[in-house]
Amino acid sequence: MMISSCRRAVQHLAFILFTYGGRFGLHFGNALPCFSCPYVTGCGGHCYLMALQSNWWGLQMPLATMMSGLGLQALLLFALFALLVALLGKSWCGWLCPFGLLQDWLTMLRQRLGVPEAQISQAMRDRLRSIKYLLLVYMLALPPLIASAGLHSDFSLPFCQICPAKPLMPLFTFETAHLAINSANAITQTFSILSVAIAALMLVGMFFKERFFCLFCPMLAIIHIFQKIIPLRLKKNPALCLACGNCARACPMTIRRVHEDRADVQDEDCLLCLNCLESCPSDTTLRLDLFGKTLVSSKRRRLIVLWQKTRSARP
Amino acid sequence: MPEKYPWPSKNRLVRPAWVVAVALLLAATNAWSFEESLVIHAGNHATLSDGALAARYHLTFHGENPARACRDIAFFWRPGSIFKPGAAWFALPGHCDAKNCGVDIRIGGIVFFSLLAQAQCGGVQYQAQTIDNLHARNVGPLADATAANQKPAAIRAALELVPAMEHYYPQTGMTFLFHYQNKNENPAAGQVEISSDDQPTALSALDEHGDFRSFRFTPSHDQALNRQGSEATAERVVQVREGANGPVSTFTLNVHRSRRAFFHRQGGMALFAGLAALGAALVVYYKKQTWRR
Amino acid sequence: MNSSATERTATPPPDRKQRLRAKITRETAAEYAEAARSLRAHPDYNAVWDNFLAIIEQPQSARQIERRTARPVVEHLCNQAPLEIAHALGLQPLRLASGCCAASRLADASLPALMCPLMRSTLGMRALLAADDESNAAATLRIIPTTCDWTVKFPELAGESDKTRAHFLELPHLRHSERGQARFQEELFILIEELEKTAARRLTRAALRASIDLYRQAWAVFAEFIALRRDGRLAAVWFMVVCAAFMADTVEHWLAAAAPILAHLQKESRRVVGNAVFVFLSGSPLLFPNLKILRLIEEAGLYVLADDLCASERLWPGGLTISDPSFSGLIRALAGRYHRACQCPTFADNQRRFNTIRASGLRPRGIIHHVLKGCHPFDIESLTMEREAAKAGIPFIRIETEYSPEDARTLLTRLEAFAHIDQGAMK
Repeated sequence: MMISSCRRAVQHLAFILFTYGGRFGLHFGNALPCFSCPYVTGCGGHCYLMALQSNWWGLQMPLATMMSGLGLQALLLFALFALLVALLGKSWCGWLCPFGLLQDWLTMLRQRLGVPEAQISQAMRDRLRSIKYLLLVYMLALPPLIASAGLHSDFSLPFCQICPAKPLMPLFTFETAHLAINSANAITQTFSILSVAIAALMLVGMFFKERFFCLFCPMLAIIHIFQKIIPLRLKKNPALCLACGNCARACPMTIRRVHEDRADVQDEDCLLCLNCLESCPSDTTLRLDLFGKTLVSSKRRRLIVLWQKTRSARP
Repeated sequence: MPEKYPWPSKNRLVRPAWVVAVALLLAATNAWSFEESLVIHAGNHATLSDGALAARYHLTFHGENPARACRDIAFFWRPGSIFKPGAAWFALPGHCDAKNCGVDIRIGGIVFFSLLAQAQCGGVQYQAQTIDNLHARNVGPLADATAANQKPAAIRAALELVPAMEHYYPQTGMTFLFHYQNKNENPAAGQVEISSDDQPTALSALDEHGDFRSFRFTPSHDQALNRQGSEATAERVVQVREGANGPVSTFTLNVHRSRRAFFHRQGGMALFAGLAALGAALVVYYKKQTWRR
Repeated sequence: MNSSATERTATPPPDRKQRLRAKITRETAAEYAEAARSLRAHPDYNAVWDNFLAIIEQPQSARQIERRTARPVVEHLCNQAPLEIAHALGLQPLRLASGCCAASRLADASLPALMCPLMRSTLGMRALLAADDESNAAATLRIIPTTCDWTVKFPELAGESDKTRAHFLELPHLRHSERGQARFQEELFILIEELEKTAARRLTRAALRASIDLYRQAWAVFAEFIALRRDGRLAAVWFMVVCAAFMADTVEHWLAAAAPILAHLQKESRRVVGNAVFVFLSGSPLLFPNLKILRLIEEAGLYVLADDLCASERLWPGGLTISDPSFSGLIRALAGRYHRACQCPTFADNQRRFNTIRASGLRPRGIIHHVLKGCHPFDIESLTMEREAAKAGIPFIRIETEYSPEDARTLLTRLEAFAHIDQGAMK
C-alpha cells in the first residue's frame, strides 16, 4: 500500500474518531496534539490548546491553585500531551489532525476543479512563519492576566475564540452556532466577528493554498519546540539526492529545506506527511527514522507504482 | 421518573379557567415578598488541597438570620449527576448561629445536586431549594463523605424542578419547568400564588389545561449579567405560597448569561459568506496574472 | 577582418567543396558503421540491442526523423526545454548534438579553431544532412537554451544558410533563487506560444498531463537501465546506446524498443566484476558514435558506475511529481524540474553537482572528468571538481580531448595508470 493511501485512510479514521467519537462513547482525553475541536458536539477528544488556556487545566488557573498540589494535575496533563507529541511528533499534523484533513479536502476539490494553487514567495512565507509564534504568545499571555490581573473573563480561551476550527469543524455536525455573531457584550461581539472573519479568510486561503492554516498553527509551533526530543525524524542522505525537486514540489507546505543539500531536513513547518519521501525517486535518500532506526525510506519502484496508480486513476 | 416527579394525569390537569387567571394575575402583580420566605443563596466555592471542592450555601429569612426567626432548620441534599439526577434526599448538617445560617458541601468529582432547607418560622412551614453542578479536581468520592452512608430522609420537596440535561448550566432565557405539590394534597383552587424576583413575564402557567401546579419559569436576560463574563451568575428566585398562612416554597436558580440567545446566525453567516467571496475574489484578482488557462 | 579570419571564412571552390562533402559523407557513414560494428562485436552484445542500434547506426536528418516518427520535428540544443511540452503538442523533440568526428570536418573552414568539438560536429552534421534532404526546412523551430557561449552563438555560427527559426529559451543562471525560477517559468510560457505556432494547435492541460505520464513511464524504464549500471551489469557503451536511441526516437517507440532489452538484461546480463574499478564519469557530454573515451575506459579496466553527463544519466531530468494539476501547476512543475534539477555547469550555483562525488551510496573508486577542448564551463568546473574529490579522498583524473582518435594511445596509458593508482587507493 502506498504511503499516501495509508495516510489518507488514517486521516479519515482519525477524523471520524475525533469528530464523532463521543457519540459512540469514545473520548481520547483533553491532551490531543491536534485540532480535535471541543466545540464539536460529541467529539472524541479535545485539542490540548483549549486545556492549556483554560482555568481548569491550564494557564487561567488562579495562582494560588496553581501553587497548590493542584497545579500538578495541570502539569500531568501537559506531561501527557508532551508524551503524545514525543510518540508521534509532527505525524499528529500530517496524519491525525481533523482540521488538517479538512484542508486536504479543500485542496482535493481545488485540484479537481483545476484551479491553480496560489503561490506564496519564500520571503513572504518567512514573514508569515512568525505569526504562529505570536499566536502562541497571545494564547499563553492572556489566561494568566484573566486569572490574576483582572482581565475580563470573556477573554478566556483567547485562541479558541479566533481559531477557524471553532466555526468550521462544528459544521460537520450541522452546527452553525459558532458562525454567529454574539452580541452579549462588546468583547463577545468583537471576538465573534473576528472569528467569523478569520474562518472565512482561512477557508479561502485553505482552498487556494494547500495547508494554508498550518502556516499559522500554534500547535505546530508547540510540537516543533519538542522537536529535539522527538525520536521520529525525517532524515536525508544528500549524497544520494538527484536534486530533482520532487520533494519540495510534493510538500504541502512547500518546504524548500527538504530539497537542500543537508541531512537534517525537518523544517519547523514539516507535517511529517511523508509526501516528500514518497515522491523521491532515489532509493533511501529520504527516510523516516525512529530512534535512529529507519521505518520507511524513499524507493524508486514505489514511486513508479504510485505514478502508475495516479495515471490509471485519472479520468 | 414518574414516581419521583409525579406528573398530573390528563384528567387532573383540567382546571377551571379562573384558577389559571388568578394564578397568573397574582404572578403578574409580582406580589413578591422577601419578608415571608426562606431562600438559599450560593456562597463561595473553594478547592481543597486534595482536589475536593467545598461549597457554602447560605439560608436567609427576612433578609436576616433565620436562626433567630425560625426553628427546626434542616438541610437535605440529593446528589447525582446531570445524566442521572439523585433519587433520594439525605440530611446534611447545617450550621446556624446567631449571625449566619448555612450548610457546607464537600464533593469529589462532578456532582449535580439539589439542596433543600426546611424550617418552621412563625408557625408557617417554609422550604427553600436550589440546584448546582459542582466540579471538583479530584476523581471522587462522588458525594460528600458525610452523607454517603446516611439513610435517605423521609421528606419530599413541595416544589420540584423537572430535571433536564441543560440544567448543568442554567442560563437566562432557558425555560425551567416546575411542579408544585404539597403533602400529596391538591391545594384549594385559587390559593396558590406563584411569583419570582424576575419580570412577571418570566412566569407562565403550564398550558391551556390550566394546571396551576405546573408552571414554567424563564429567567429574563440581564444586561448587567451580559456585561460580565460567562462565569458570572445572577440569582433568580421562584416562590410558591399557599394561601395567607400556608406553606411557602422557594427555588433559587443561579443563572449564567445565555450562551446562545445573543447569537445572530444570519448576520454571522452573511459576514462569513461575504468575506469568503471577497477573499476569493481578491485572490483570483491578484493571482490571475500568474495563472494560465 | 584580419588574415586568420579571412582564412577561416574562405570557402573552397565548388568542385573541391563537393568532393569534400562526398568524402565526409562516406567517412561519416563509415564512422557510424564502425561504431555499430564494434558494439556488435562487444562481449555483452545480444541481438535485442539491434532494437536500438537500428535507430542510431546511421546519421539521420530532421526530415528522416520526421518521416519515421510521423511528427513535425522541433530541434533543441541542450536539455532545458521540456520534452513533455513538445510531445504534448504532437511534435518530435530532436536534440541537436553530434558525436561524429568526420562530420566536424565539414564545418572546419568556417568555424573558430578552438571551438567546442561537440558544436563543431553538430554544425558539420547539420550542414551535411541539410544538403542531403533539406532538413533545414523540415525543422521549423530550433530551441536554444542560453547555456554556454557556443550554444547561444549557434545560429550565428550556422550562418545565413540556416533557415530554421531560432527561439532562445533564456536560462536564468541562478537555479536556487525564486526570482530565477519565476523567470524560467515565464520563459516556458513564451516557449509554449512558439511551439503552439509551430504545431498549429493549442496546448491543453489533458495533453500535457498525458505527456508527463508517458515520460514518467519512460523515466521508470530509464531508471531500470541506471539500476543495472549501478549493479555492474551494463557497460558504459551500452548505456550510451540507450541514451542515443532516446534522443533519436519518439518516446513511445523507445519504450517499445527498450522493453525486450531490459527484460534480457535483467534476466541474463553478467556482472562486470574481477579487476574492474568502479569509477564516476563527469564532465562534457559524450555522444554516439564517439565511443572513444568509453572504450578506453573499458580497456583500462575501469567500469563507469555512474555519470552526470547531460547526454547520459542526466539526459533528461526524469519523472515529474505534480502537486498542482492545473495548467499553471504543470508548467511550474516542469519549470522546477528542468531548471532547478539541471546540473549544467553554466549555472552559477552548481554546488549540488559535487555532491555526487561524495555519494556514499555509489562509492566510486575514482572520478574521471572528461573535458572537450574548448568546452569552457566543464573546464572551469574541473578545478572545483578536483578540489572536492581531494577533500573526499577520491582519486581524480582530468581528461582533455576532442573527437579525433589521435590521442587514444596517450589517454589509454593515463587511464591505465589511473586504474593502478585507484587500485592502490583501494588497498
